[in-house]
Parts: sequence; C-alpha cells; structure tokens
Amino acid sequence: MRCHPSGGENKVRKVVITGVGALTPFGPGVEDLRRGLREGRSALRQARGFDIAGLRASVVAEVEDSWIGESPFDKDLERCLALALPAAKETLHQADLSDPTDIAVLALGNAAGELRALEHYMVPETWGRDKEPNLRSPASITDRLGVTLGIRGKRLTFVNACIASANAIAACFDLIRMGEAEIALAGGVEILTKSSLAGFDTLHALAPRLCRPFDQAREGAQLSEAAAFVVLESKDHADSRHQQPICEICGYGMSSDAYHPTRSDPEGLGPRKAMERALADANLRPDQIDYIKAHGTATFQNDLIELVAIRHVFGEQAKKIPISAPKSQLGHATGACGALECLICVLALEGQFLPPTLNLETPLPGFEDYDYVREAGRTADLRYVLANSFGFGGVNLALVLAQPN
Amino acid sequence: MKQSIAITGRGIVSAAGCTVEAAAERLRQGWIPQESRQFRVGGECYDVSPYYPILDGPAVGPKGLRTSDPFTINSAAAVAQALQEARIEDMSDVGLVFNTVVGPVEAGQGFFERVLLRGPVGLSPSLFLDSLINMPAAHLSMLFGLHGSMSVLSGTHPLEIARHWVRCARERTIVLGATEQFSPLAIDASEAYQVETPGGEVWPKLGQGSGAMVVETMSRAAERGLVPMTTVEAVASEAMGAEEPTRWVLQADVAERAIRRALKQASASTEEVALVCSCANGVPTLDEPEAEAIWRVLSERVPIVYPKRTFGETVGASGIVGVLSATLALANWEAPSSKGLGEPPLALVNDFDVGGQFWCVAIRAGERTK
Repeated sequence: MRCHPSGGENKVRKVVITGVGALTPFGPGVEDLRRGLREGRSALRQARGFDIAGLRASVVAEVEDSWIGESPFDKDLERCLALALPAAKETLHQADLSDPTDIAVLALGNAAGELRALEHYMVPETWGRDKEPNLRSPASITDRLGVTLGIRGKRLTFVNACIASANAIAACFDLIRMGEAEIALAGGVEILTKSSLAGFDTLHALAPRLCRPFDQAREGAQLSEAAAFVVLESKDHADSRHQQPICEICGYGMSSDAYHPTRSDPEGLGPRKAMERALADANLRPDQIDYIKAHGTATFQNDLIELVAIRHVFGEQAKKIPISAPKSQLGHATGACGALECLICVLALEGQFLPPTLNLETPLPGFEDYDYVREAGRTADLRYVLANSFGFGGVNLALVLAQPN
Repeated sequence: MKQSIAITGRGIVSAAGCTVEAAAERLRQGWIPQESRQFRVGGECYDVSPYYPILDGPAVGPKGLRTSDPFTINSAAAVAQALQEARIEDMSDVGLVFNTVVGPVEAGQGFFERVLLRGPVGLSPSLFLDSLINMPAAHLSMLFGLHGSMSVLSGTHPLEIARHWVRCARERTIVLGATEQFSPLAIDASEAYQVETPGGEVWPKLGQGSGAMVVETMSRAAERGLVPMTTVEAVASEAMGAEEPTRWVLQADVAERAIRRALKQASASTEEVALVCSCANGVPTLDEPEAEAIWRVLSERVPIVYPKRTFGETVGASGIVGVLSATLALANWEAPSSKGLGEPPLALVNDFDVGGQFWCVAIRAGERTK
C-alpha cells in the first residue's frame, strides 16, 4: 500500500487487470484483435449490415453477425447486448472467474443505447408497439447484462460520449483502489446505425474515404462497433487466488473543456489537464511514459488539439514517445472506444508491441518529427503507457497503465 | 471508511415548483400535483397518458445557454439555483456528475423522426447534438465554466460517483445534476411500467423534474467559511440478481442490505435515524418490500416520508430530488407528512432504479439548518 499521490484521504491499493475480452471488427475474441493489430490491417470498409441510403460517408468497421454465435439476444434489436455478452464472458473466462457473484461491480460505458431498436420503433408502422422503453436505454443494457451473467454487485452506467467506457474502467479503479471493492468487470459496447452515421455526418466529422489520423489531408473519423471488457482486481485479491496480472492500472485524470459542444479549446487545455492529472495520480513524470495511445479520431479539430496538448505536457520529450491512433485500424467505436483502446494498451504492454497509425502520409505542420508508428507496428520496451480518450461536449479522460511488477 | 461530504447548494425545477422554497412549501403541505394529459413539443400538442408537468417552469434558460432544448433549460435552471446558494465563485476546478435514464428524448424523438422519415440529407447539426444523452451535461459545463472531472450517468445515483471523487481527492467541489423531461412517446411507452391498483388508480405517475446540488469536501466548505446545511454520511447500493430488470420490483432483502450498509458506512446506529425518505411511487411491488425492509431495520418508530407524492416519479432525477427533499425535511425539523419529529440527527434516503438497483443515502443535519 502507498499513500494516495494526489492527497486522498487514506491508503490506496494496487489495481491490476486479470482478464480481457472483446468482440471487434477484427473478429470474435482477443486473439483476433491481437492478430489484426499485429498485422497492421484495417477493418474499415463499406457498410453492409444496415441501411445506408442517403448517407454521404458510409465506410465503417462492423462486427459480423456470425461472430456473435448463439445468443439469447436479438442480433439486431438487442445488438448492444448481443455484442457485449460474448465479450464479457471471454473476459470472465480469461480471469478464471467461474463464480460471477464474486464480482462487486459491473460498470458499462455506452453512449446511445439500443439504437437499432429505437430506430425500429420510431417509424410510423411500428410507433408505440414496443412498450419496453427502458430496454433500450444504456442503463438497461448494464442491468440485463448483469442479470444474464449472474452478477449481483453494484451496477454503474456511463454515457459520456466517447469517454464513457474509459470512465467505467476509471470508476472501478477508484472503487478497488480505495478498498470498496475487490473485483470488477468494466467495459463498453456500441453499435452502428444509420441514425448515428447521419448525425455524425451533419457535423462533417466523418471521412467518406480513408481514416487518416494526424495527416494534413485527414477528412474525419469512421465509425465502428465493438464490445470490450476488462476484469479489474486488487493486486492482493489476484495474488490470493494465484491469478497472474496482465497489467496494472496506475491512475487516471479527467477534465472538462467547458468550451463548445463539438469544438475543442485551441490550446487544448482540457486534454492537457486530463493528462497532467493522470500523471500526477500515477505519481509519474512525463519522461516515464513509453507510449501514448492517442484518441486520434482523424477529425480536423481533435488531432491538432491532441498534439498541441501532448506537446505542452511532454515538451521536447514528446518527439521521442511513440504515439499511435488505433482508430485508423478499427474505426471509432464511440462509447466503446475507451475500453477497446484500453484493451489495446493492455495487449501492447503484454506483447511489448506498438500498434500502428495507418494512412498517415503528411504529418501536421509543426509535428513532423513525432513518432506516429506509421504504417506498421513494431516491438518496443514498454513499462508505462498513457491512453487518451476525449469526447463530444468536451470531456477528457487519460488512463495510465503499466506492466505488472 | 466514513467521510462526510457537505451539501452547500440545492436547486430544483419540478412539478411542485421551480425554486427550493416553493418545493419546500408544497412538501410541507403534502401537496399533490395536477395531472396533465397533453404534452407540447414546439408548436404541436400531443395527447398522452397522465403525467405531472413542471409547474411554473422557466421558458428560457440562463443567459449564455446555447440550446433551446427544455431538458437542458430545466437542468441549467436547477444548477444555477444550487450554485447561487453555494456561493461558488471559482468554477475552474469544479466537477460535474449528471444522471438521466430517459435522457433528452424530446430532442431525440425529433431527430429520429427527421432522419427516418425524411432521410439524412439537410439535417441540422443542432438537431443531432441536442439528442445526445451527454449533451445537457456538456451545456452545463460550458454555461457555468466547470472545468473539473465530468461524468454522465444513466440510472446511477450521482452521489455514488461524487463520493469516490472526494475520497480519492479528485475534486473538492462537485455539482450534481439530474433531469427527466420525457416526450410523448416516452410517456406512452411508460404504460408498460404502470400498474392499476384495485381502486382504479394507475401508478407510478411520471413527473418532469430536474434536481441539482453542490457538494464539497468538509475542508473546502470550511475554507469558504460555510457551515454545511447537511452532510452526506453514506451512499450504499445493492442490486437484484435474478429478476428480469424491467419493472418496479424490489426484494426486501436487497433493500435491507443497502440500508444496513449505509448505517455501517455512516458509523451510525439505528437509534440515530429520525427520518426515512422513501422511494415509494405507488407500485405495490416496490413500496411493500421497501416498507418491509425499513421495518426490519428500524422497526415502526421512524417516520417515513414520500417525496414522489409531491414530485411524481422523476426516474433518473429521483435520487437527487429525494436527497433534496430530505435536506428540506431536516432543515424544517419536521417531516412533510409527519408531526412532532423533534430534532432528527440522521435521515436515510432511498432510491430505486427500474433495472433493479437500490440505493440508501445517509444524510445528517448541519448546524446551518438550525
């Protein structure tokens, strides 16, 4: 145990990750994700699984229905649950948790709920036929997932846009670190729908062709769907059941831009504050970070602001730290991206491997000398990594993860 | 471990009025709001199931609010009251926790109808942005300049997160907000959750509402020269496991465990409890197990009050509205529906999410209330 670095009330405990699971556009499990990242593939292609009539930008990264397998949930109208369940089961299996009643907390990030069901019931032909509105809310996904898995612990649902599932992980980290829980399942899920694509496109936030983070010619993000979970556990609890930690969570920081619904403050004050708070919470200096997993949406605003903020926090050191944007491979899973990309950082630490930034030809002016891990991933010595997540409405969260001692 | 949190500001926009004073007076009267069967969206009026609309609500939001969505206007009005009462001047490190289950569905309904019936071409960005569940909280952070941590929750008690932020020293001052506004479709769909009692009454009655509070560490409040009106001593929750989480169904065992945990967290004995603020909303499968749990822990001696009689079932806002009601009851040294209460040192405030989670918050009267 050690004292809380930022002056908290009492002693804090080490928090480790002992299980991971995912259902991503690379395939039905963590091994498919690992392979896709290593091979430097892109899962982004023309949408096939839903109606795209009238959409300007329709390149997405989808999960194949066949990867879901047998499910008690409808693969269309209950798609969030259908995706989340196998990913959560894989996570519990990997953490060797046969008795889910041990899990004290289930925390989920999801920004939009069962949107396909909502779309279905909003058209005149089916208006009002559904009388179960709460089945479509994000909270109902957490509740039904918990019941299906047999988890009787506390349930937390976060809906703060693209940091929602990172926030779910962070909240569990706090609960375990402060001794209020021993073990938690946290993650996120998000699905693709016509209305979500239409909405993001009104903001000119979507790229019709390529997702090119940090490139001068970047056109925007490309959306995706995914479910990703981690089991968080106190180090003492993991030791007591002889479970080997995959990595450690050292701290996190959050902030709010309080600036504009979709635009970031040009100085990147919000992201800066989140990163600085994360480093302070983890009791680390900037030069101890070995890799930055960028939020890197490839939108005009985000990428520049993120680099400005990184430069401010890390100074000249920033040029030496590998920075990559996994959204160039897997798209932007909005409410699920925080958990998915946390998991990517876990795999990076576990395999000592940096995932690449694809499609980057001409870096942004003033940031040409940065190491973006372009086109192909590579091996590296990684001890501490920083995972950035930013969201609409100006929410920012940075997580620090480490190789276990 | 026990750590008190000071409540230093409160705000409300509700079916019982849109100031804390108005709501307090109506709570004292045991007032029951007037039902409406009409829901106005923009220029159109829809016939809907009975619900409790906001009484004397704000027509426009505070100056500087960048949306005309009623959900956000009501949220902003409640938060503005809370910040004013708390006399917060420096917002740069103030955090925000916001909760809603149904979200800004009035805006959402407009967005989906537009996309699905007329296609995506020519869609307005604000139509999309106003439909996002996190956007009202983002507007609050922008309007009031809240630069600290921000979490937006769905079906989770905001104090649950605020308490951990304080314990972990992440934030010293936090604004809590919670709102439900509903929409014609949401109100119609809520019929699935209603039950008809033998007397022909249909429960619960949805109530539009927005609640807000400012909470601070005790040290921060003391630095600012404030004596807290109330302190939060515990936030305990328990979830049901085996039931299909779609109805107002509670198990007495679950509620009992949460109440006992709250008392333990608050380091308080049952004798210290002078008031229980119930989450009862008229549905027997919720109300009876809760009453049973309270009886098991506290016997019959403790007065129980029912804020939802005055505010309706405000769903995601009910956690904050319940705590706020309890602070009013403690401040007046008497419960709205009870007499001769004396000086209640501790109040328990229950809350229930339709998905099967039960919260018990323990609050204690501060010196300022005297």
